[in-house]
Amino acid sequence: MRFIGRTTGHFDQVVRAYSGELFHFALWLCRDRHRAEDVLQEALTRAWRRWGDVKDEAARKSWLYTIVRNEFYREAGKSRRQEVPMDDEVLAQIPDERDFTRGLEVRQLLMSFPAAVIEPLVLQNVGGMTCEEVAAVLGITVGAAMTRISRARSALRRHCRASETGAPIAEESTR
Amino acid sequence: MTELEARRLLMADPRHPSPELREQIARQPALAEFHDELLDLDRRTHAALTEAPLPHGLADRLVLGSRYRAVPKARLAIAAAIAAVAIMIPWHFAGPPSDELAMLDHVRDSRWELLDNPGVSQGIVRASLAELGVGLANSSYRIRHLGHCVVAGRQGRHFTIDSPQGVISFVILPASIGSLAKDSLHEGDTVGVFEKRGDILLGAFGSSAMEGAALRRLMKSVFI
Repeated sequence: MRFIGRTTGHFDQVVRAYSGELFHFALWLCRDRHRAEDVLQEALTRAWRRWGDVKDEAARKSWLYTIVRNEFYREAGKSRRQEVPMDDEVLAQIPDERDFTRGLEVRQLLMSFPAAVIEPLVLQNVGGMTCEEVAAVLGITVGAAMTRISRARSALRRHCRASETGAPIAEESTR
Repeated sequence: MTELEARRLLMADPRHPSPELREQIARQPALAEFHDELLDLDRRTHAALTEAPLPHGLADRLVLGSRYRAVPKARLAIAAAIAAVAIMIPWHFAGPPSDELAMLDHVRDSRWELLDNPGVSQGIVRASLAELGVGLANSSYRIRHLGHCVVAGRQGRHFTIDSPQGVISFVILPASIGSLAKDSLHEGDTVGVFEKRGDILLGAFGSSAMEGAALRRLMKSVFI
């Protein structure tokens, strides 16, 4: 009984601490508020049932993100294999053309990113994860995580610079 | 690490903790400028990624929903049957418990409602209460927490403020038919005062050290 009490209190604390960022993660996966809350609720129900499985508290947050993501794909009826196509295909979907993103808000540009790119970006930017943690949640290599995040950040950088200067949006390197 | 490698690493993670990278940034102004630009970009990206407002009472619903759904249905059915019997026996002998008592019990049992969740604006609380037809006055009190709650089978609102007399809870509930059963209640370390406005029941709750009259004045100043 004491164990249950401790678990309950800890679960409450953790959910209250992370519910906001987990919701935003689910929202960027689902692109629908009601569906995002349903996915999050179902994911946390699964997490509650297996709360004691996590021995390393430092891994708790990544574990929760993984469950939310799995729940999204389970609910969407997609398998992991279908969900992540070849990297080149994924990266080619990021808008990197010259002018057509001009005038878009950053949010709208983010909306145009494919799931395989927005996921690692949200995990790092909102979840505060390192590239290693992002890779672990997504089940990809660290190199692939770094490539996807860099590509997303590069597109955002081009967009923001072009919006500020009014200059054409041009492909650029890290320089 | 060359400058190009440093830039590639920063593009992947501007907060990368590598000491070698930190040294490079400290040594090369152009790299430091690039780093600052990426940090600023990340701030803008973060704002865009999190600009959607969170649903009211999200954390409360998730916590309660997770526990409720995790209980096997057979156990829920047994628990519901036992609860029904437990409720019916006192109803049979003493009549149904009042809304006021249910609200007081809710406040005493829901200690998480006393948590401080920074960032609850008066606008959000005003919009949430407006859904129940209750107006929130312009006041200088800081709002600590807002949540949806279910009391006596009806969904209401529960919010807490920091007042000069300490943390005060307010519960707003669609009232059952009938007049106010009690205008104040005192149980354990909690005191509550109540007011019925049309179909809505307002309750203000403080510590037992607080005068009922002061709590009533506070309630008048918070609601329109």
